[in-house]
Amino acid sequence: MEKIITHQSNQFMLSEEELLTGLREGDRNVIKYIYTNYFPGISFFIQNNKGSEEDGRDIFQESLLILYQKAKNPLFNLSSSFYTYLFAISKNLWLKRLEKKRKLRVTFLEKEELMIVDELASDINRESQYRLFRKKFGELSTGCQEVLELFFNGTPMKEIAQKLNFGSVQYAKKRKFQCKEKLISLIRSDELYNELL
Amino acid sequence: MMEEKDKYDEIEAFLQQGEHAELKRKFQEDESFAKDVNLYKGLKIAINDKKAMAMESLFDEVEKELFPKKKTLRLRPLLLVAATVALLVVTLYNLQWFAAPSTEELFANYFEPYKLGFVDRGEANDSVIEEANYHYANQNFEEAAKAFEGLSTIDKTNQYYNFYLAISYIGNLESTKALPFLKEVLNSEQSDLHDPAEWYIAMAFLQDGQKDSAREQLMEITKKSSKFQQLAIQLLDEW
Repeated sequence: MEKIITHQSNQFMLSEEELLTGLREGDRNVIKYIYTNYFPGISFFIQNNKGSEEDGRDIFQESLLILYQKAKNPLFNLSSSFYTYLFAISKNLWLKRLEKKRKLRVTFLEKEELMIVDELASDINRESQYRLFRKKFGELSTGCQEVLELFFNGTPMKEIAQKLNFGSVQYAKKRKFQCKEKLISLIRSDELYNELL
Repeated sequence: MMEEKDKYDEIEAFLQQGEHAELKRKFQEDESFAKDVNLYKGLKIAINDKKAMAMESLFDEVEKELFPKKKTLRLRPLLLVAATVALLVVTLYNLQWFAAPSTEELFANYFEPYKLGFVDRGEANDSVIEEANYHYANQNFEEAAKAFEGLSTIDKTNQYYNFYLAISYIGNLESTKALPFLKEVLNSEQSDLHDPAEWYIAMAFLQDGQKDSAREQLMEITKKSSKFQQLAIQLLDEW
């Protein structure tokens, strides 16, 4: 592994391939490297374009997750630098949110960024949705999370009732229905969900 | 509620038997159904993606470690007090109106069928009672209600039949049918069933979405000592 000391951060510089592999494998050190080197720039861009510090954190994390999902495919190759990819995804996500909020667009995608965004268009929207679903799932009570996790995992209702010590299958079904209702209403009431549709 | 239940069952069926021609056509023609199916499908994928969940947690941890959120409260004391009061008001408002569980949730958390235990056979024959007991014990409330309806018709004055019939109705989500029977039990001389009947009236109101009536009923239960008193207090705490 080729490691070069950078001037700025006095740490090893990882190659694009190492970044992609590290991200794919969830290597904590690589993730720290990515955050250290790329988060400040992207967060600055968001905050400089009508976003808050929280928006910066949110968009960066979402972009990184989109890239992670792409990186899971061993056939995926970066056609530009890792940072250009990450920045293009972040910029695109943020511009879309600004548009939905009817705030003035202050910047546009460059040609290279447009190509990246076109390449990832369907992934970007889908992953944003999934991330929202997981976020809302995390807002449910632990009990509801347990029921739905088992249910969506394909566990039969009888087994769910036994595992969670419910008095009856009928009650387990009722609980599942209510938790699902709660989750769907949480999702639908989030303005981001309507923006993503 | 039943309509929604059917909708999800239909979506489940669509996902499991996507080739079913009628459902496939509905998916293509009914935009709202297609949207629901896609949402449901997305949920399944998102929640089962444990690796993505783990990555999100890892990102959170790294972010917190390297870029902890700044505490930027530099308000003057008076402004700080005003902001705190405003925050408190908003929080209380939210707790009161939005965070409170729905009547459906409360019902699901608190409804348990009353234990079977009556021996007074009256004029009914054993096999009908056994059938009613069997369905009730197995929480097959639709069949239990039918059997208790039969028993109640044979012996209208037997309050046990009326009581278990009412609970079967509630278990079968037909609370409006349950209420008259529970009130009859309450007005009868069968005093051992009075406390439970009061409790199940509250459950019936909850299941029927009559929040105010349920609350009023629960308040009444808290006033006297019974095995349901503590349950009522607990439930009202969650209100």
